[in-house]
Amino acid sequence: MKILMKDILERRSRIAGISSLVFFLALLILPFLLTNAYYLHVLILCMIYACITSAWNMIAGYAGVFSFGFQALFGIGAYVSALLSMRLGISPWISMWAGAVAAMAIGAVVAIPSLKLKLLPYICIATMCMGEIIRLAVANFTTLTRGEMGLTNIPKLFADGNRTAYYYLAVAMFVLILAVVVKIVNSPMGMSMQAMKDSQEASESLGINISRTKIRIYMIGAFMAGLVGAFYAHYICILTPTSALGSSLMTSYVAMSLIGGIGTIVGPVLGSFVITIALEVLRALADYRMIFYALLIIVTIIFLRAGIWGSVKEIFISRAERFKNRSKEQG
Amino acid sequence: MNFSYWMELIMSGVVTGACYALIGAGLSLIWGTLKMVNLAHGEFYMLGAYILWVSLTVGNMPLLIAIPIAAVSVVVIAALLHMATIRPLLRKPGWDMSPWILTLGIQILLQNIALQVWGELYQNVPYFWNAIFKPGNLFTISGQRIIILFGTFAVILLLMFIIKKTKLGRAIIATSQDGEFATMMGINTKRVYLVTYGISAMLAAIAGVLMCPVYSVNPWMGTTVQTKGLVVCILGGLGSVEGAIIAGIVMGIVESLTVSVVGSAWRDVAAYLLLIIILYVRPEGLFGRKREG
Amino acid sequence: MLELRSINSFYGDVQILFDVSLEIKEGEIVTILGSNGAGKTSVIKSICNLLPIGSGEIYYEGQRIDKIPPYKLINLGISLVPEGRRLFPDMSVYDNLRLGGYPLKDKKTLSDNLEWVMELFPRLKERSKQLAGTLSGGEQQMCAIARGLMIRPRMIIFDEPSLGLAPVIVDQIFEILTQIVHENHSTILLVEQNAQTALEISDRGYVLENGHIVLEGASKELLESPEIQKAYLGL
Repeated sequence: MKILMKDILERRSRIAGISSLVFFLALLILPFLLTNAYYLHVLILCMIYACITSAWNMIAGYAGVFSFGFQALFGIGAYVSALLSMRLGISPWISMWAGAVAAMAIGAVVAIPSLKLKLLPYICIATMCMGEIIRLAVANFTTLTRGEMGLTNIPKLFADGNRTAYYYLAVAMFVLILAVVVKIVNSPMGMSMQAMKDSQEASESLGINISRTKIRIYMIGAFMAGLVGAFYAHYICILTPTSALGSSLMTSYVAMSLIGGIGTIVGPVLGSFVITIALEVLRALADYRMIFYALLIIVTIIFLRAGIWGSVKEIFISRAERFKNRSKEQG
Repeated sequence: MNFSYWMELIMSGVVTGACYALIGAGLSLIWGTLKMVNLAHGEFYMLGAYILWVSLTVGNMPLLIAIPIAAVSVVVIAALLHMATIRPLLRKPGWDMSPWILTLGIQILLQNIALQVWGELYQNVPYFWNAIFKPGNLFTISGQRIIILFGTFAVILLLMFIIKKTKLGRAIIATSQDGEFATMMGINTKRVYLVTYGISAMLAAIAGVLMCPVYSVNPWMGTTVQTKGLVVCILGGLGSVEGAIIAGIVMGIVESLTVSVVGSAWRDVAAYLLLIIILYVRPEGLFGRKREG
Repeated sequence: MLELRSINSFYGDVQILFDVSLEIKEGEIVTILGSNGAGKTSVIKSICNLLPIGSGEIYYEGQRIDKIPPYKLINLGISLVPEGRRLFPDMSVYDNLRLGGYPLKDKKTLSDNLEWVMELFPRLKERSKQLAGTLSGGEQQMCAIARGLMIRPRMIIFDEPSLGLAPVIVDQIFEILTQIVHENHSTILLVEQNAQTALEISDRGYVLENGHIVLEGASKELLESPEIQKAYLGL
């Protein structure tokens, strides 16, 4: 009967492998099926959110460091890359990386003082404040950023603004970031992250250098956020402090992570696609859109405490447990 | 830049600080008993202001009736929300994170309901007391600000009395220190959770009522105030009501000094920087105890 | 007075109590013995409905109590002195005791009972203004017991009262326990790791292992039972 259990586990990882392959193949084929450019745009937005939510989830859901200022790193990547390409005429293909590095640097500055804090709300609120400081700074340095007037005519990555090209670039970025997240979560560093989340003291006694691991992960996540932000800047081509640095972005990341299932790989991706698409569909409701969005968040968190994917997983695991018990009894 | 200028600056800081103190005290009270951060708190502030405005303009009610109506309606709304959304999740697995997203959802919900019902126009409420005072000819202060100061003072005094001297207060303290065991002493902690949530919502509503003649009434008025309340609540040491009150006043003064020195655009930056600097020096907050919770 | 009938309890999916049945008659002192993790505290939590039971029934004076919310139990005259004392550290000794009398409606009874427990524990009278968190271990245990007595309970549940205390103080505390029973005709459920002392003062005992009751009987018999001597008395 032991063999059966192993079989289930093996089959599970095979199912996961096959379904993610199908998912990515579908992403590759979709542009041929969807003739409407608007659909492609929505999918690009889905992937932007999926990237950054996965990065946030890697930091929060696995390492247990809840940053509520993550949108600022996205915004920094966007603004730095946009400004470099606009004011210095650097190619956006190069400035994007500069944006990511800038976000990583700021991420380190944010991480070092806030990770000293032990209590969860202190970390949340301290990072929330740092995010707000960055937004207000961008809004106030009007000579450089034009403040709430916003930056317009940001150089495009593809001269003609070819949406299909943007789409495939987004897919590439999405696959790359997700692969890195999976790799990190399953690496020794990822294991120590989970130990860290479960018990700070236990992992301290195991000799894991908590703050250094946390800071390293935070910086990787920040790099991802910055890169995605830069991509967003050169895709949308308009930036304002509210649209690129506003706290409603943070709300979306948290909502997507929790509704999809925090602390899982699939959850944030699922949450990003579901919520982004839902928000587009809800446009039909015009003024009542945000009310339905809020109700969706509230109802999901009350009835699916572990999020959509988390609940699916729970059902699957308890089935497997029951199966294991039954086979134990028979054996 | 003379004495009266500085005096007025500090007075205006104290007035804003009083508002932060009320919001922060409520957030701290909720953290103390429920161990959650209420991100819908600014919306109770907003609703208090709106209900006052509606009672005054549409209902044509006298002020002394409109104020209690605003406070009580907000408490009823908060209690209903608590029973419908917070109670089912309370103390269940994931409680460390679920309230954040839940109350964010409530925040978006209430803001957008307000937007649909009352529109996006900024509304104005007249001063409660249209007088200007010049104590000893040293500085000027408006009647509204005097009402804010005394109103806040009275409310905080009443709150302290309830917490320190009544049976309900002892039940609140016992619940916040050891919720599970408090039930074994015959304390109905579920009710304590509901009552503290209601009291905190009322504090926010009163802040909204008192402040709305100075600022204006709009669906987003709660957001910044709430962030300030959170900052104050951390500065004061999470869960400490007295700490939040003192930190609130200090932060109001720091903000108003920043406005005069650097300019009003940097006012919020100063407040948030203050938090980060203080947390860097004292990770447990100004009045917080080490290794709590 | 208190009867548990085939209790099964769970933490999440993990079963921790299996078919536990026990009975305590009025005026008795009954001990539950067991090593760490045997499920002793889970029995208490099940009785108090802090851990809702999966199946089974709990009766107190003929009334079924397993569906009653925990905060109402004290009104039935059941009082818990919990493991690790769990005083309210930021409150004074006096306030802790007063909180013990939370369900008392009548001020006269409250002050009478306060006087009574202060007489039982004169140390607490000396320290009544001090914060409970600043007391010594023995004093904290006294304060916890005194708090549990504030309603003059008819049934008291003690969870590991000797834990972490010096032997001299343990003896003192057990002495006071027996005194309370004789003076008030209270019924006591005592949960202990310290088998020797617990069995000496109690009438009957149950032995809990891995969530099962494996042995029960009069305390004298248990003291002489070779299994107990080997497993719990270190003889």
